[in-house]
Amino acid sequence: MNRLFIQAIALLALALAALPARAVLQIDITQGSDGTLPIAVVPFGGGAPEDIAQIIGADLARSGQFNTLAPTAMPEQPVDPQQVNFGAWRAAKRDYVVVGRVRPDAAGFALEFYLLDAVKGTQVTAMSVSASRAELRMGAHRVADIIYEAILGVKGAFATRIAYITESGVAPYRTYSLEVADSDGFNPQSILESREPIMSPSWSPDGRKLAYVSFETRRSAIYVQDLFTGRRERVSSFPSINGSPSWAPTGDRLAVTLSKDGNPEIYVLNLATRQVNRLTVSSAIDTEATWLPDGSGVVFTSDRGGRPQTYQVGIDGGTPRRLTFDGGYNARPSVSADGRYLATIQSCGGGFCVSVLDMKTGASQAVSKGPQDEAPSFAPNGAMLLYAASEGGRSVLKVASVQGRANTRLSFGQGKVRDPAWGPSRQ
Amino acid sequence: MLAVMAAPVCAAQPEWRSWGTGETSAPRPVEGAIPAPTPTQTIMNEVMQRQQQLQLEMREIRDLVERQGYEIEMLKKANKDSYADTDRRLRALEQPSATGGVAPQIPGAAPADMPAAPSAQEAQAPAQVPPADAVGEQAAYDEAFGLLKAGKYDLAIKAFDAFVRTYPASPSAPNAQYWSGEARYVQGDLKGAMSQFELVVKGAPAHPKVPDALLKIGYVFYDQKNYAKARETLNKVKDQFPGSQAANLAEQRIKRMQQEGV
Repeated sequence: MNRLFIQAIALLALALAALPARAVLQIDITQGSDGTLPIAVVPFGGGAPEDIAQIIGADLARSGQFNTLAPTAMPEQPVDPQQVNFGAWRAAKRDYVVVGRVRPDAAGFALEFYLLDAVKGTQVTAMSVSASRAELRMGAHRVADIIYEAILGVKGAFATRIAYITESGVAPYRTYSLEVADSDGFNPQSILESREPIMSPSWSPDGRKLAYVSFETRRSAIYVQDLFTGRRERVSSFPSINGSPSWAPTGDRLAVTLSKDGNPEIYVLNLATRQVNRLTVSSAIDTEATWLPDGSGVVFTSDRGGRPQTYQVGIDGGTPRRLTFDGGYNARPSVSADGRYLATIQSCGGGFCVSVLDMKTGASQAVSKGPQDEAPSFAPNGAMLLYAASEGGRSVLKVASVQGRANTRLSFGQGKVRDPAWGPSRQ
Repeated sequence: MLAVMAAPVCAAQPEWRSWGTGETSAPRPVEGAIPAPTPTQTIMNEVMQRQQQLQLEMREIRDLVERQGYEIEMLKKANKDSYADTDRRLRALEQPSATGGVAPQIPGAAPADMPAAPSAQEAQAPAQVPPADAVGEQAAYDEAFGLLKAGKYDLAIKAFDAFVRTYPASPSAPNAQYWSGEARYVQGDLKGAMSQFELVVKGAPAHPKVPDALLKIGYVFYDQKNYAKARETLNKVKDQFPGSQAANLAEQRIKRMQQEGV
């Protein structure tokens, strides 16, 4: 196996500042939205190597809950809250205004900001967030989280990270890479590179580790890798398929797909004992398990009814209950953290798009347009979905708001990008 | 989309077919042709094919069963919702609003015909219920109606009868009589039911419950095998209240009687 080369890169201190920013460069709102809150994030005063206000504004716009104002359209660009002319902002039809500055501090930078209610002429909140140079963008995401929560009363999910697989080059020099980036696609870093396919990353609930499938031995096996130390471990290498790992909310188990007993079935792998417990029994293919947030069971895809649909089964096995009935095809389930919404890839208009089922009311809604959307993954706050899509032959990641109001593209330079997984909130 | 599914899980079996018969020239093996299968192979392949066929059919049936289960679940839910809705609307109907949403009854319109003396006497009394009592009246009616819905027919009959005695002039009194009749009817007390329905029809001829009461009188006659009277009464429902639900039901019962030859 000398053709194979594997490079495990330690993600020390979140981001190595020296690492060149790779593919991601461009973020476009591809679909506007109605009924959003008008806000303006005024360019921050002080000196910073990143445009803090732009990062915050892009976060808020991507959520589908806000519409922002370009600096050129702003009536004024104050830095201190005392300088703000609320009348001017009301005339610019803004409900909220954010002003602030970046100051140097012991950690590197302090992002000091004021969220103001332009309608009432009052201050909603004011805070200071410290960040090192390497964490500066993450610091701005944290400010966006605070603003999001102060206005909507729901936690933000911007100061989070995402994992995904890229594929570049042509065989036999094709390279697969497991990457981790900020939730807006910036600061991508390769965690693992291989000439053989890597698939299905899944975050540990503490956000420290990733489980994934690698074919580096020319056979599928499941690995667990610590993002901070780079230490990796092969946890499942049964004969035949080892696939689709999903980390349990308790952190001590993985749901996996194994075909060691004949055809693909769902098993629960205990990470400490390495023992597996079979959950499904069917002559059909059962795969793509994802945990219910309370850990009581998993949702998975099965073609036991002829075509792929999603089912739920308890942690002790039993008869699976079918969850999806709309559309002839429902696969790749992702469950929101509150357990209420189920996102799937559903057949739509001759292609495949992301659909969200409200499991309480039974209503389902397409939140993407297709035609080749894949692998939806809920943000930890359940308000956004990350998925892979193909656009004009290009492979991209996209973020959709769950209400279907906004759709933002995280562009990648070249190659293919797939299997995105949205990481947990910082503990 | 199903990454794992992309892997060939079960490679399709090659299909073995015997060559066509009825050829003019004697068939001769082609060079490099696939050798003819042995009988055992043929049987094996047939078994495999059948098994795959069965599996396919089983999945189709599973899909159907799952969908039907889901539909039943949805229907149950819709049924429950619709029951709640009907119940709500029924209650609205059963509670004539103070503003006079229901046609006012004419107290003592036909007192001479009233078979039940006590209520007739009370009905003739000036019907001025003090407003303070309206609350108690409504509560008493609700309680009786609640008993009926709960299937406690004996208690419901008592409660409705008590309601009529206490509030003879209430616009809900004919409703109470009607439901008292219904409760008796359910219990098989045909005579008791008949007298309650007659109280409604004769005591408050303009009351909105009259078509239903008359229909039920027709039903009682039918149950008593008094088919002539039944037909006469049901026709009366049809003629007097055309287009009503009661007329519709009367029509259905008349047809049924024709089919039954009675």
